[in-house]
Amino acid sequence: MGKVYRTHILVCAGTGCVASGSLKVRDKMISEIERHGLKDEVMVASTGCNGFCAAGPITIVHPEGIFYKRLNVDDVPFFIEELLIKGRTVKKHLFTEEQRNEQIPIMNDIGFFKNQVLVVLKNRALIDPDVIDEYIGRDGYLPTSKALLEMTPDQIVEEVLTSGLRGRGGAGFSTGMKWKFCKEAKGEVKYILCNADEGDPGAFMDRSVLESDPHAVLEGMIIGGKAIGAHKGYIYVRAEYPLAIQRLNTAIGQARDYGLLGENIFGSGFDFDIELYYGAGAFVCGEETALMQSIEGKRGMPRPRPPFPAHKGLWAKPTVLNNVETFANIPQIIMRGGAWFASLGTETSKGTKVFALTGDVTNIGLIEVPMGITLRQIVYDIGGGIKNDKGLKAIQIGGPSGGCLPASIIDTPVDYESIVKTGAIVGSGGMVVMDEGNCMVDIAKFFLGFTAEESCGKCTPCRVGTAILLEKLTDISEGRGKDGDIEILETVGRNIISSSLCGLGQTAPNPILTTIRYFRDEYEAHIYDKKCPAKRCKALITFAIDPEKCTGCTLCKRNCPQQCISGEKKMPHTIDQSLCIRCSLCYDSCKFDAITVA
Amino acid sequence: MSSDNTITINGNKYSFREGQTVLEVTRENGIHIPTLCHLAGTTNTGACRICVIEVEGVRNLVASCAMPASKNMVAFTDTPKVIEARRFIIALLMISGNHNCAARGALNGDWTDFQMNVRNYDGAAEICDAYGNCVLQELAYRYQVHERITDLRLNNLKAIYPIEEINPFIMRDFSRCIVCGRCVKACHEVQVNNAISYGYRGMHAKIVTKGDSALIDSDCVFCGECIQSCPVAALVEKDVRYNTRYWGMKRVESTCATCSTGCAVNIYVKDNAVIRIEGNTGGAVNRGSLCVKGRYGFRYVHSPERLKQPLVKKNGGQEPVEWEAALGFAAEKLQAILKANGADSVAGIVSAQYPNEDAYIMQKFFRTVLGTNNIDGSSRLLDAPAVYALHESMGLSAMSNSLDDIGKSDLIMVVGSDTTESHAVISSMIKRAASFHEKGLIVVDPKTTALARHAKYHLRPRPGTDIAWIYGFIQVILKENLIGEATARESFANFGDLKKTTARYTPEYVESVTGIPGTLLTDAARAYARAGRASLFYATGVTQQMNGTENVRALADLAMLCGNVGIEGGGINPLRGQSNAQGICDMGSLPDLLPGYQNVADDGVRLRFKEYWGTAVPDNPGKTLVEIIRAVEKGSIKALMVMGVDLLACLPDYTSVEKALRKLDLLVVLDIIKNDTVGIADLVLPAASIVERDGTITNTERRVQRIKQAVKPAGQSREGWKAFVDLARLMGRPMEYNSSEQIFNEIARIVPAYSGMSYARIEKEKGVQWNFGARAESKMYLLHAKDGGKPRFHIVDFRLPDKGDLPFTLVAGNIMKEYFHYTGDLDPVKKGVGMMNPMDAEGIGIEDSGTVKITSSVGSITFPVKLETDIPRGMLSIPFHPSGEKVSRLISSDTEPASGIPAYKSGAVKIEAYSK
Repeated sequence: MGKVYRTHILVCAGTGCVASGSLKVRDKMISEIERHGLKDEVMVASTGCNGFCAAGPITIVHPEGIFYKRLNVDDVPFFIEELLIKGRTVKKHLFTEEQRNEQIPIMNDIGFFKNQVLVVLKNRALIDPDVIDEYIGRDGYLPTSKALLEMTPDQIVEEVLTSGLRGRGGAGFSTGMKWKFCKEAKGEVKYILCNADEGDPGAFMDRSVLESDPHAVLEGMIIGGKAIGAHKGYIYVRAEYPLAIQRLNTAIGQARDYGLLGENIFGSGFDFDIELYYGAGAFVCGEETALMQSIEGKRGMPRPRPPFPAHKGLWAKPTVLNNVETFANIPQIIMRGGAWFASLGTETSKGTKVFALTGDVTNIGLIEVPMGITLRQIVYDIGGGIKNDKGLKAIQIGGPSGGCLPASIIDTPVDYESIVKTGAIVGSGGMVVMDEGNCMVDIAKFFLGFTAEESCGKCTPCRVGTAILLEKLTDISEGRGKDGDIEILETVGRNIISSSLCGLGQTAPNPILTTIRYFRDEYEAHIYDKKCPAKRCKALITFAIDPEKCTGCTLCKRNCPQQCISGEKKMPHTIDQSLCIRCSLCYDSCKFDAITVA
Repeated sequence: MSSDNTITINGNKYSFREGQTVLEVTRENGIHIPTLCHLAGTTNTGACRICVIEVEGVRNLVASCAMPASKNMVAFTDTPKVIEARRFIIALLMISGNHNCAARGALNGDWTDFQMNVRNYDGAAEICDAYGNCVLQELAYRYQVHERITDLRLNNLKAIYPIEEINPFIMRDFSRCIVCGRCVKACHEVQVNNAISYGYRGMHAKIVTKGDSALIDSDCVFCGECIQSCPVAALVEKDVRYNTRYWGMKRVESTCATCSTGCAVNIYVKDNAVIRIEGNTGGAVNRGSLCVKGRYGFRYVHSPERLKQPLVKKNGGQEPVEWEAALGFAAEKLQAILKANGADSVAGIVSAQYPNEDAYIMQKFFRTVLGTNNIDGSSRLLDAPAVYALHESMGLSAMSNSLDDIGKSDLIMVVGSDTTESHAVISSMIKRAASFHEKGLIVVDPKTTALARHAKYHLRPRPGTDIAWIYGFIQVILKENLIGEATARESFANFGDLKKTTARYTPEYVESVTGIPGTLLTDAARAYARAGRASLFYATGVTQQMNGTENVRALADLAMLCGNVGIEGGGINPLRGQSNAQGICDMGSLPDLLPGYQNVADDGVRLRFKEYWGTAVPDNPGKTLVEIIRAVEKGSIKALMVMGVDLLACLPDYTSVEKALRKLDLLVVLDIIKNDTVGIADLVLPAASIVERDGTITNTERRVQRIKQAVKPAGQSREGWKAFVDLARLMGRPMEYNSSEQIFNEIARIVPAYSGMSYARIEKEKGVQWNFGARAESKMYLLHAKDGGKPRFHIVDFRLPDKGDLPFTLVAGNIMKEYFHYTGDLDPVKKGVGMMNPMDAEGIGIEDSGTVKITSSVGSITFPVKLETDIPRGMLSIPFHPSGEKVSRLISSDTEPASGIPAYKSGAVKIEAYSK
């Protein structure tokens, strides 16, 4: 620890950057530095996810804090020579803000980072998640020692209540209340569970937290255990998250070695240990009662509540289940006080929220923002606006349980109540930005396809209802829509919401209901005009060749898998509509913009 | 009304008890809420959502079946929102499958297209089999679900799985399954067979077996609980489907007589034929459950093998005669034999599957008309040791407790009973207690029985070594002083002797003798002793041994020592072999005991009976069953009347028995169906089957229950008692009886335990249990043996079984799917095969499903065997099977001295591979 380096090179080792080759980059850097004999002056380390996955592999150079994007293994020799031998900033890999068209070298000057507030992700890109000492170096496990040695369970619950923290898994129930109920529940044996069964399409908040800062989650669980009187915790983590599992296992092992898990932690007399349970990828197992059934070795199907898990949860014992992000907030609430946390965010929605920002936005990645920030700020200030100069059409928030919000309400603040008013939910953090090229019927169909597939099949409204919705949407998108279909979608959707057993069914119609609410004209175009305005629904579009523009180059003819394009060389071609399967290959291959879509 | 527990429903206040659901409160108060997936007595899963209601302060609708009633809750059961949701759910269910009743018609535009699809699916042009008997259809009408409510369609129904019909009992019509999960609950939580569960997801959800195989290849035992729980036509009896509509059937409430559990049944009859049988949910014992035997084992009633007319041996064959002539022939012959050889040259044997009325009249006929006590029952072959040992240990000859007590025990010990095969419904009670109520379960059986898989401790003693482990238990308990020795010494007359005798049965010694690991024995003994209330159940595994009576004595001592006798939830309880084993013994079908276990050698007793019957009763005790056969062999018994027992099939040593029976001057067999013994009879009398007549039977927990006539007797078949009444008349000693009720009333006067019973009372009280004499009013069923007030242990000697040089122990027993000689083979897969351990088989070159030659000291048979690790090494298990070679050829006719039972469970044999 005592060694001082002139330069620290931090290579991102989040899943995104690892996928684009960051570990090879790191190793190459180490060998290059050794080759130059700079081993004692420069340290290379890997860190958890930076969040800006679109720019990977990412490298950050300290002490200046310069952000380098897309630094691949082949770039390393040049980069090391420029940076360390010549002492120059490597301009080729600096980040360019498109709107201002200027290079921004310092990480915290980049809009993507500048506008974020890091609580949950405070250690991101700063520590090596596999090294507990680095976590401890950033005040890690101080909150645990405080909670275990200085606070009573009541005080812990009080602090969490004061913070106003609400569950980050989607429903937004008060974490303090949940803990209080469970603490007051009678029972010798209680459990604390961490839901890491993140399943929304395109969402990766929890994975990122587990990969970049696993100890924060463990700490949250230990403190929660003390608060409710549990001595055993389970993390229900998706088996599809191998890196997260590996880092959790490392973290748990190190914590046990340090006496931070196990018997008599910090000499407090409090025992607590954590076990991992791997989920097999069923979306419904993110529902708390289904998750518990799954841990018990049964088929993961929700059961009715009450009894609520706080009274009868895992193995019918009082149980608290929170998600990864919720637990990751706890150490800081304990350390800095509930009041500090409550100072962030809005009146009813405190603190920050992590989102996986994806879709047609320029800066794709993982972001943490204070509650109350507007959608506009997220899309433009952090996301850098819509890619390819296209216009914003909608923002899908809350995943399969959420909704599509139109550009017209882009100034809606992101807090639980405001988002619910729009018909969507804050959800666990999925946020998909969509440009004008997206068809809202198609989007609704996509999400319904997901929920109909992931419905466990136990309760009637969800099992049959989602299948009906999906079938109806398919009809509409394939030109079989008829008058009254929109009303049927609304009626069926409303009834599924009111009568389903669990949260999956109770929210499954949201993507349909919000798109009908904000984009009804688009449904009507599909049903009455048999047209898809966004030109996405294949059954409703036709490809044609503009004879004015066609040069008769025959490229489209050669690419057509149906061989339905005919025409002589150097003469305008035509498409046989009866054979066309609307694969779009002609459109994509034409160099003269001669193919039209209508 | 307590102000605390008050709930407001539809504006009215109702009181509720802690733990009640809103649904339960509404049902108690006559408020209608529809249900589909709700199955009484099981977990409320809230799956179908039809029972949703509105609760103030709750955003969405809640399922009333799963919603606990709580203080200050304000609920509404019929708001527009609720009605809309219910109609919606009904509509979803209707369109999600082949629900082609008229209710469905309004939902879809083109009925014809739809109906053609249904026809293609199930190959029948009929409207749904459940029409008129379907909860979904009823709801569709009740809520008037039609197209004006919602124009829903589901075109691409992917979830239709093909119909499954490759088993003889259950049709699984997935197109009509509404995935309510009642069958899963019935299978898991009622029968605890755990054969089916949910599979796949969303619209593909399906009720599946393990690995989604067909039922016949699964753990399914075809108890049919699922059929009974199915609210629609997804699960239907194969025979009945599209054959008979429910409204064309008459329902008769009766009692199942295939084993001694005594399950209440509803028999459905059409055109004088039994169509189907289901469990009666009001049944005191079974509460609606049945097993495969009870549900499907009625086909013999209408079998072509039925005896329909009396037959007389003539010209080397048997020729039909009229009843009067047949009985005249018997009367004449009997009179001649009586005259020439005296009364004791005649003997009678009665089946423990015949009703009390028949048994009573037959023994009365023998004692008064013929003047002999030579009358015995087939229970001699199954559980006579229970009768004798318990009578002597505790002064009772029956289960000390009730089946209901299973739920009250803290620990249940099952010894020598493959309960799941022989008493399936009782097995389910035990499984429920062990699985859902955290009761301890100890199973002692060499075989890994189905019940053993639910047990915390499974002890596998070598056959014939029961006393060793029982004394091992006692040794551990006394050594560790788990019962309070000082009190025990004070309470029992001969505690010191017990301690001294058992001292050498250390866990090490017991392990060397029985093969039960010492630590396992110790743990199980501790668990038994420490349990507050421990009940003990045993069956033929204990009794059909050369020391069966001693085994029972030792078990009784163990129970007494640990204070488990005379308490609720405790006791020592034989699971009787046949349906009326208890009853025929109660009726005096015993050579030494008159009705009500009154000693025939007692002058006072005989005097009383002379008053009852107006005729003197002979004072010399008669012969037991096996003694009767020996006397036949020796020629001292010349005439034998058999009611319902295939002696050749169940008596040991077939060849000798056949030879003996052929010596008789007169062999009269009254039976319902052809069998080997019928084949050699001089006179065959056709008997009415249990569904063709009235009467009573007494189950294993001493519950006297009614059997009722559901169909007319086949051909000229008659009740057994009528045959004896007519015969008495022809012999000039008339017995005047006109009905079975009249006979029962006489029984109630004469048998103390039946005092106060009548058909009317039995009907009203769903069967009446008899208690013990003076304590009839008490629920504590204990009469300790005398000895100055202090109960006494009946200490026995233990000898290792002598197998000679024959290496294998033969264990003959019943399997679930056969009910002695009547139900025929209900199991087409495991068709009457023996079982042995694969490692033994390897040693002598036997392959799975191969045929072996089995040889004992008395005979030899060939038999197919399966290789199963459930069977311990050194053991061969063979069923008493109606078809194939009779295992009885292998059993030695040696009997236990005390009770006269042959050792069906510890024969010594050798096994060889057999090739034709």
